[in-house]
Order: sequence, then structure tokens, then C-alpha cells
Amino acid sequence: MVLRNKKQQKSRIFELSQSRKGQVQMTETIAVLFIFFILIVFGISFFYQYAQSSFQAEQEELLGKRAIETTLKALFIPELMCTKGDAEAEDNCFDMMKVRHAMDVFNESKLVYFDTFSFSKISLTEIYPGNETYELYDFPKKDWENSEKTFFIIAMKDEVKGDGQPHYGLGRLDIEVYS
Amino acid sequence: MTHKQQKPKVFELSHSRKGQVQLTVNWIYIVIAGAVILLFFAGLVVKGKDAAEKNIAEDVVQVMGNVFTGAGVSEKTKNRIETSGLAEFTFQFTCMEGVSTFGIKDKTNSVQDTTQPTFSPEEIKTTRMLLWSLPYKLPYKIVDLLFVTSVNTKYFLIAFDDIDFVNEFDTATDDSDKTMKINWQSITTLEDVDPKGNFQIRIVDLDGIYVKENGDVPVKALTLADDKVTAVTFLSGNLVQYYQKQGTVWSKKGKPVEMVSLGGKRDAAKYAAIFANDGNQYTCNMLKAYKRLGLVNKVYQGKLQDLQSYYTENSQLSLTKAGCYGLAGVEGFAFEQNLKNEMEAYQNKIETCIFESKEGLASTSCQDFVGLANAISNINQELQSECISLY
Repeated sequence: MVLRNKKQQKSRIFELSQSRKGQVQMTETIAVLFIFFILIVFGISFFYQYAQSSFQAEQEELLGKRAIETTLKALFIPELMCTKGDAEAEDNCFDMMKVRHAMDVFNESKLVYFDTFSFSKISLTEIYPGNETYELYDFPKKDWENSEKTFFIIAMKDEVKGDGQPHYGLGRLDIEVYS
Repeated sequence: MTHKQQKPKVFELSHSRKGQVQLTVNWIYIVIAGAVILLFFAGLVVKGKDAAEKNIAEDVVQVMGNVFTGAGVSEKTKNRIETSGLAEFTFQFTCMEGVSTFGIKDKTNSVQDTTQPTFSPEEIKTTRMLLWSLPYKLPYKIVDLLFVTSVNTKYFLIAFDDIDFVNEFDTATDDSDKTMKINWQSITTLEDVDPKGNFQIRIVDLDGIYVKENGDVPVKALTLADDKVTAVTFLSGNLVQYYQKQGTVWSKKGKPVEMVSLGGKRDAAKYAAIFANDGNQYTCNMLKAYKRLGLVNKVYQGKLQDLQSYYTENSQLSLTKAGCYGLAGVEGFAFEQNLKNEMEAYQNKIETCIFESKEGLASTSCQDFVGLANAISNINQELQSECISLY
């Protein structure tokens, strides 16, 4: 009888230790899973932040490139450039007699010039001798988030202003691109 | 007693079997997990490779777009783009309804353009791309025409009458930097054509007599695929006809196209015809130039108005510079052939030409530019002597 009791006790202890071991293992598994998911959440959030910042940096870089590209296109556009007959055009010079009318042409054909200048604002400000401003092209993007400004100093040639000789002024070409 | 001894044995046996099963399950679990992990990384590598290729394609298209912009705005410049890392890719250039598309063949990324006239073979597979731009003047500068070719695209120029152009081509394409030199050769007969290791060849028949419909393709060129052997012939009346190899003979590629130019040295329209893939690409890109001409002419019409106002306001000048008033078309002084009338007629012709070109009509009014552009050029030359010139 005593032996039987002892055996029953042993098997109970065995069952108890087994169930406790199971409980411990379960808790362990839950803890591991918990840590695993926390790590995954951390990983995802870090990756998201990294992706977002690199995307933003890339956007800024692209905007900078577009600003330079637009400046280049504006500087060499035949609608504004100074010419010398059949000879090569004068660099960094705008013919003011053309500028005054190009403003209207750019405005009338905004969609045509959009392919060249995209979302941007191009204006020419006289620095010397006057201070007049000519808004050449203005096509802002709705709800724009970023903008990049560049400028370039150019000569402003006006043949009807000079006394026998073309009159040259100094101006600043401002270009702002939007994204 | 025996019964009691039997129980632990059964217990031990069931335990060892359970262990065996557990051990097998563990191994299966490890194998499955390992396979899943391996598959995951393999997928990651494949995806990464695809993404890297896509990125390269995007970057290259983007960079090339920038280079094209640079080459397009700075006239008479030559540029090169090293594409050795992308030698296995084929670059594709198409133009439809005034919209050019440039990209890597069978890749989704491409650049579209509606303003820059670009003339090139339809496909380029190379280690180095060459870009060259020339100003298109009618008679003033309208836009820079951009020519794209490659070191492995060879041009064979054949001429007897128009040998001067071959010499001009030699001077124009010459460069102190040999890596920027256009791959071309002057030949006297079509039998001299030897493609060697080039990707494609273009025969330029400047006299318009050597390449004919159903005429024999040079024997050595038969090794290349049909679309990689093309020819362009310059016919009388400023017409250009494109041909393509079809088996062993030449076959016309579309109808002849009009070449609108004032002639002279470094005639951008003529060079464009040499570098264009075919008549469709040529007219599609020239349409961009005509559209631009309409806008540039409007600006010059405005400049002329300023000029007329200036002469009207400074009436004392009419005593010493009456010719300027006459040439500019100032009321009361205007000569029969004056800038005002010529430019108005020019604008009308430009608009008709653009309309006809868009409609795809067999237009001849675009050729009418030339007479009016010449008239404006002559008046401008006269103005240059003592008046304010138009351009």
C-alpha cells in the first residue's frame, strides 16, 4: 500500500514537473516571439525612415539638377539670346527687344514651353542702370513641397535705347523650380 | 511482480519512440525552415538583381537625358557617353506624332521629349555613344538639332558630284579627341562597303544615283541583319529617300521626305537626314523644329514692331537712314520687299506647314519657307550695313 502510494506520488511529481516544464517552455516561446516581433517592428521602422530620408535626398538632388538644366535652357534659348547675324550667338546676353515680346509668346504658349521649363518661374531683373523686372515664365506647381532657386548674371542688350550703338545693361536671371 | 516489471519497460519504449518521432520532426522542421530561409534569400538576390538593373536603366536614362539637354543647348558641340557597363543593353530611339521616346529596349523607363529634335538610328548597342549638335537656322537660329550615333555605327559616304560635301563632312566631324570622332569612310563604289565588326551601317548616297530600289546590296553587308543595313539618298529638289536592305536587294523605306534648308556650310537639315533612322523619324523631329520656328518668328515679329516704333519716334533719322525705314517696312517709307511683309507671309507659311505636317499630308508648303527665309536673310544683310538688324 505504502509502495503504491509512493509510486502514485512519484507519477504526480513527474506530471507536475512535466506541466511546469511545459509552462516554462511556453513562456520562453512567447518571450522569444515577443522579442522577435519587437525586432521586426524596429527593423521596419528604421528601414522606413532610411527609405524616406534617402528618397527625400534623391528628390532634392533631382530638383537641383532640374534647376541647373532649366537655367541652361533659359540661357541658350533662341527666343531670348543676342545674335550677330549669321555668326555665333553672343553668350550670356539677352536681346531686350526680343525679351519684351518673348514674354507674351511664352504666356500664350505656356503648354509648349512647359516641356522646356516644366514647373518653374523665370524672371529677369535689371541691376544696372535700371531696376525693372520682367516675368518671363511662371508655371508654379499646385501644392508644391520643395523649390530650388538659382540665378545667373547676364548682359541686357537693347539696340533701340543706345545712341547709334547698342545699349548694354546688367541683369540677373532668376530661376525657381518646384517639385 | 512480472506485471510490475513490464510497466516501466512499456514506459521506456514509448518514451524512446516519442524521442525518435521528436527527433524526426525536428529534422523535418530544420529542413523546411532552412529551405524557406534559402528561398527567401534567393528571392532577395533575384529581386535585388532586378532592382539594380532597373536602377541602372533609370540612372542611365536620366543621365543621358541631362547630357542630351547639355548637348542640345550648346551648339556645334560634340559629346560622348561611355556606356561600356551597359554594352549588353540596346538603346532605343523612336519618334511618333512629334513625341520622341528614348530608353533601354524592353525596359519600362524611358524619356519623352516634344521639343528637342533628335536624330539617331532606331537602335544603338555600344560601348560609347556620340552626340553632336548643329544649329538649325531659317534664316535665324531656331533650335539645335541633336545627332546621336555610336562608335560602332559606320557611315559610308559615296559621292562624285557632291565631293565638296564629303570634304566638309570630314572637317565638320573631325575632332582632336579621337574618341569623339564619328565612324565614317568615304567610298567610290558600293563594293568598298565593309561593315567589319560594326553593329550597323548607313550608306549615304550624296549624288542620289548609287542606291536604287531592287539594286544589289554590297556583298560584305549581307552578313548583317536587314534592319542594320540602311541607306539614304539625296535626290534633286531637296528630297531625301531612305532605303533598307531586304535580303540581297535594297527596298525603299517610306516615301521621299522634304529637306527644308538654306543650304550652305554645316547645313543642319542635311546632317540630320544623314543621322536620322528613316523618313518618319526625320519628319517627326523636323516638325518639332517647325513648331518652334512659328514661335521664334512671332518673337522676331515683335522685335520688328519695336524697330518700326523706334524709327517712327525718331523721324529725323529718315533723312539720313531712309533705307532702314524702307527695309523695316515703316509706313510711308516701305520698300516693295520689306521685313514686315516677308515676315507676315513667313508666319502664314509656317502655320500652314505645321498644319499639313500634323495631318500627314504630302506637303510642299514647308519647302516654301526657303524662299521667304532667303528674302528675310537678304534684307537683314542690307540692314546690317547701317541700320539695326533683325537678328
